[in-house]
Amino acid sequence: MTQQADPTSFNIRSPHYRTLLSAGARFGSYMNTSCVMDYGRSRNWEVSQAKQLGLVDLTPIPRTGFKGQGVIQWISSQGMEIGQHSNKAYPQQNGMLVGRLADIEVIILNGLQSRTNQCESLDEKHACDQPVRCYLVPRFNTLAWFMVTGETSAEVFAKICGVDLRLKNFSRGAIAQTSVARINSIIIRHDLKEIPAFHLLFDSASTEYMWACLMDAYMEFKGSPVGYSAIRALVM
Amino acid sequence: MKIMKCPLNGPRNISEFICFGEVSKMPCPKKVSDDEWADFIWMSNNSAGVVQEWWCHSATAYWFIAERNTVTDEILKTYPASDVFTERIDF
Repeated sequence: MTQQADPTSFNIRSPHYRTLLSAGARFGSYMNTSCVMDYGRSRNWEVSQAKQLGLVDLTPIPRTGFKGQGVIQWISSQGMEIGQHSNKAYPQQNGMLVGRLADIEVIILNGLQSRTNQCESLDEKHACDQPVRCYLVPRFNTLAWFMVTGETSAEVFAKICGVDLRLKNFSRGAIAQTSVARINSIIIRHDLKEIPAFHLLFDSASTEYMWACLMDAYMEFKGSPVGYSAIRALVM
Repeated sequence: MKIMKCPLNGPRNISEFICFGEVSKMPCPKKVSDDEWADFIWMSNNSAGVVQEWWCHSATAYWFIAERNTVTDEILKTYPASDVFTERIDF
């Protein structure tokens, strides 16, 4: 990742990049997309903030999905390990995260440390294979992707989501498909080593709204946006 | 807050669900008369008592069947549609 890239010089950037810029975001190039690296503060400060309560915009990072009666069989044939339980995420050895949303649907997130577009490769393989009853569900342009990190992240969700996401009740890898701030969302608990963290995916048209809702909820717990570099430091 | 149990996602606020009306047996489209087809599409029994209804969890677009008492508005049971419709229907 290179320092200080202008988001408007990239074809792929977060839909609410202007809001991020006004919050002090500094963008970098990541897999030909414009991703927020940090907010102009020291690395230690941002890492410390991510441990307490941070909000990361991961929208430019690739993701994909598949749906159909044959989806589990085809995904398994691609070397991915996926368990029997729905609403559960299964980390892969290559860093990807496969979320089983139902018996016939998965969402796949690119590895956070990966420097290649693993999802695009999978989409291309799907186009070549044309597996029976396994249909592509484009997730990259339809969903925004935030990550809520830190010890008080479950408390923040309690303000805007009806599902009990307390760490003792919502275990690692658990998925909740529910309403967050009245927007249909997918929540996946994916801790950054020992730091609690949740992926939050929702309709990309609501990016500005969701960011504002979360920032409002964050005030009570002294939360703050942090860059991709902070979570990368946490998982290294 | 009223809670409904989604067969896929578990207990959720009722505001996350949409009711799509009673479950009724579809007549064979190749044999049925126009009047019978119109009756199947547009008319409902509106029974007082326990009925089977189509519901959808809007966050996941997951369709399932609920048994609800229309007099008391009590939801008695929810289950996947595959429990009732065991075969694929091709037209």
